[in-house]
Amino acid sequence: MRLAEPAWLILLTLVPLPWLLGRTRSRIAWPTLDGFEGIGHGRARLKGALPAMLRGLAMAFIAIALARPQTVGGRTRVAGQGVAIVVAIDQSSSMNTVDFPSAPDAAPLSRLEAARRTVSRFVLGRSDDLVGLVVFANFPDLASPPTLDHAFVLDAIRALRPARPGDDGTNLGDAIVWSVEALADAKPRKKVLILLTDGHNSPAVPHPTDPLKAAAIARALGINLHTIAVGAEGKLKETVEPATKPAKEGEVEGPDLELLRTLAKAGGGQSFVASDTRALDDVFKTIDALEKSPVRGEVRTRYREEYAPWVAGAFVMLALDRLFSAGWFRRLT
Amino acid sequence: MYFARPEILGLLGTLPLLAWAMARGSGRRRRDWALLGLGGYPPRDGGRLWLASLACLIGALAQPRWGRESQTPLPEGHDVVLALDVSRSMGARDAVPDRLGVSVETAQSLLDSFRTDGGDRFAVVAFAGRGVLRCPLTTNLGAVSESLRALKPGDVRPGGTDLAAALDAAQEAFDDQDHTGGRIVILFSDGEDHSQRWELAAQRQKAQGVMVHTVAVGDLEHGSPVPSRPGARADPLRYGGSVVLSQRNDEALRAIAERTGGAFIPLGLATSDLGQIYQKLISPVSQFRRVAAFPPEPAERFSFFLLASLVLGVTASMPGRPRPRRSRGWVLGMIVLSAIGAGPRDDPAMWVSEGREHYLGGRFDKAFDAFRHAIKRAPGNPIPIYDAAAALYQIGSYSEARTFYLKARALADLSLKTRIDYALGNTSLGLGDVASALKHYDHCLASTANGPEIEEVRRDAALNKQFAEQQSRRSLAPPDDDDESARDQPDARKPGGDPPNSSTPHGQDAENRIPDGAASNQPPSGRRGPGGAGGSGPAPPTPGSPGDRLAKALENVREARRSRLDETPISDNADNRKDW
Repeated sequence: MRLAEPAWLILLTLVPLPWLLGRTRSRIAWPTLDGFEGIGHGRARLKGALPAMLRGLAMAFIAIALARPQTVGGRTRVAGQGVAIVVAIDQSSSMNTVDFPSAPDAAPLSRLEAARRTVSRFVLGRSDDLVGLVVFANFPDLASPPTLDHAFVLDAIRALRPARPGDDGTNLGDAIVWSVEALADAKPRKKVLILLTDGHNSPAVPHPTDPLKAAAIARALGINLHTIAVGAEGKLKETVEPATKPAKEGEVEGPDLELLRTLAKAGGGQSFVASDTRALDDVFKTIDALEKSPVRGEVRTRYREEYAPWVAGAFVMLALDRLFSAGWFRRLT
Repeated sequence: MYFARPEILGLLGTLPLLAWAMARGSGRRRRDWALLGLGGYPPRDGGRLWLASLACLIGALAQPRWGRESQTPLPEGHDVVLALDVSRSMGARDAVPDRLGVSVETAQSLLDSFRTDGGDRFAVVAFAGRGVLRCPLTTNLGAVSESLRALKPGDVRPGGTDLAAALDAAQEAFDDQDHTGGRIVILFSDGEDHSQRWELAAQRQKAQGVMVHTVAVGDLEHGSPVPSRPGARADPLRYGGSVVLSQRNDEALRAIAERTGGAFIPLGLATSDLGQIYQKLISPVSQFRRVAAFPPEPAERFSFFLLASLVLGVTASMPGRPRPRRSRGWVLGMIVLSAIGAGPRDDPAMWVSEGREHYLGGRFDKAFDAFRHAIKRAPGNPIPIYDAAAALYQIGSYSEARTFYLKARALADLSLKTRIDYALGNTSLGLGDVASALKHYDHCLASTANGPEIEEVRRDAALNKQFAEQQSRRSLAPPDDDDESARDQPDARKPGGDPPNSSTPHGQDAENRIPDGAASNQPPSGRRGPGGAGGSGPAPPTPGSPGDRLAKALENVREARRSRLDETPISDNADNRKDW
């Protein structure tokens, strides 16, 4: 148990307030109290003080709840209006190529790092949409189904690694099909698939899906396919060897921009180039134009809010106080 | 704004009861006041304010949220990988509930003691014969503790205990940002290493500047049987005919900790709070900055409700004074005011008929304005909404038209719904969304409303559906430059539809038909027949619905994935492999 905003505990000083204010209330002047028995003795006095005590306690509980008691870890329900989005990221080894311009005077980033940043930025910008993640090289994998739990998606993005040698390749068609399946079960009516790749379609499986056919299937199922190309056109040559870290010279191919354009067109979306910072904003805009459906989901949070029992306590105290004040402990002033 | 627990708002139902009790109470007060011969009214007791305060408390309980917490960059902190042994020997019950249970509980106590607002990140690695990342490096302690709780003895294959694999997997779990320190592995195990190759792995960790703390669980003195499967009454595991007794072994764990500069913590059988360990060993390790940020979580706003409740409560606590009798002048004032407020009101029907005039005259934007006015005045009536949608459709903003149609559909009765479904189909077609067009036509065809006009609508729907099906079949490469034809298609289908007329939902069917004389007046089938003006797609047509095609493609992908090389070759062949 921790308090997230302990400063609110200063409101605990309000606790005696109901009692103090009760003392300053107006009284009825009465010539003699001889007619009333038991006035000023233990039980009656307690009876008089009880409502003020209840109110004071309620205020204390509210002050504690305001200080936000929390425990580590939990799930909480969230809701919103959005669409379902699956981002398919290429993790083939060519994504290791270090050719992505970052800040003007900083060293260039690897394409994978650039993709990670692009997609993270994308996820952060779509707070009300269900976002899922598919990673692919030769084989597609569902890293996260479409979810509102964006923290999880972000961590999954950060845990992205280049494909193992046996899995290397770029199989766009299968990746689209796999993503479409993840989207097919999602509730929102509007669905978006974003394909982020740096390569030419070069599948190494027996029956690869033709990317154009896959895009047509996506379109027919009401999914908009956008493509984002990372990496400059195939002229750059520096790659990093993971084990020994010397720069290795070699021919590296760039994204097949023509294919990506055709795919986006066939999938009812647009194609973008990631080096262009406006690209993401354009994707946002096209998605914002889509019809939103209500989405609900659970999100894992860093902390679980534990204020509810305190507020419930305060509610019960106050309700009791009202009942007593209207009934047995009713008084005139 | 939304409420995370909207069901709590049901508590608001108790407030009228309370209000009733309070009203009775104050009635009695007033009576007693008069009985004592005092003039005027007794002082206020703040009853209404208290009620409002209670309502705010209920609002707070329902967990209101809006917006998200702003995203802040991660402050300096540590990266900690919790590596837990999940081999079957961790199911041994010398500890309570078992060794793994003790480890998980201890790991959670560690989570609790971490500097709560710091930038520390955690990852969870489960290992047996190999290491598996169960939770990537994250600041989200909820995700970490959830994946800790999900661990079970024996759920990583292949079995066995390989500390080297654990260390390597932990190394993998750290991201590839530049590090100067602050990376920590905490290894929970019973120390029975079957592979004995941890020395190299420990050296690798040390070279990377990773500190490994090791926590040994289990009984050091006596071996204990290992359950062969989960469950309270499982038989003990046998190896070579005799029962396997698993005993904690500190040797490897101690050595790993020593070589990497970490601490060896012999936990034994009981859980213990690692808070102290954190204070002594982890907190002082240098922290470092990473390129990451706290993911924005939905912002809790119950504080506002609580504050409001508190303010109301304090105000209500202010003692009142006896009040003199006063006149009821305000009642009169209210009556006068309401009389003024109820001036001449304009009639939605008027706007609707005006809109229809514009519509017939082809001035669709003016028509839309008029219908919008009508909607404003009669928001519950589907007809103006339907009309507005039709006007939008004519203007060509299909997606807006669709929204309006959907709104109208929610309010419409059966026969109007049928018409709207038909119109929705046309609109979706206009949007190029063939799949939902088909769905809408199907709804329309399946409707049970009857009447000659509805029959006609259904006939049209059938015709258009046919067209849409053709369209979907041939649009493998979807019609980009087909937009034009797709767009005028639905208009085209019925020449001379009745003009929209005013009073009843009947006769509303005309909304999607454009008045006579439009350019494209043939039925869609004629226009897009086989061999007709083609789509741009070079792709050959594939038979079957999109769903079928997806299923077929998926089958291929699954087939391909089956032949994928497995991550680690498993040498499970030998029966005498030590699998615990």
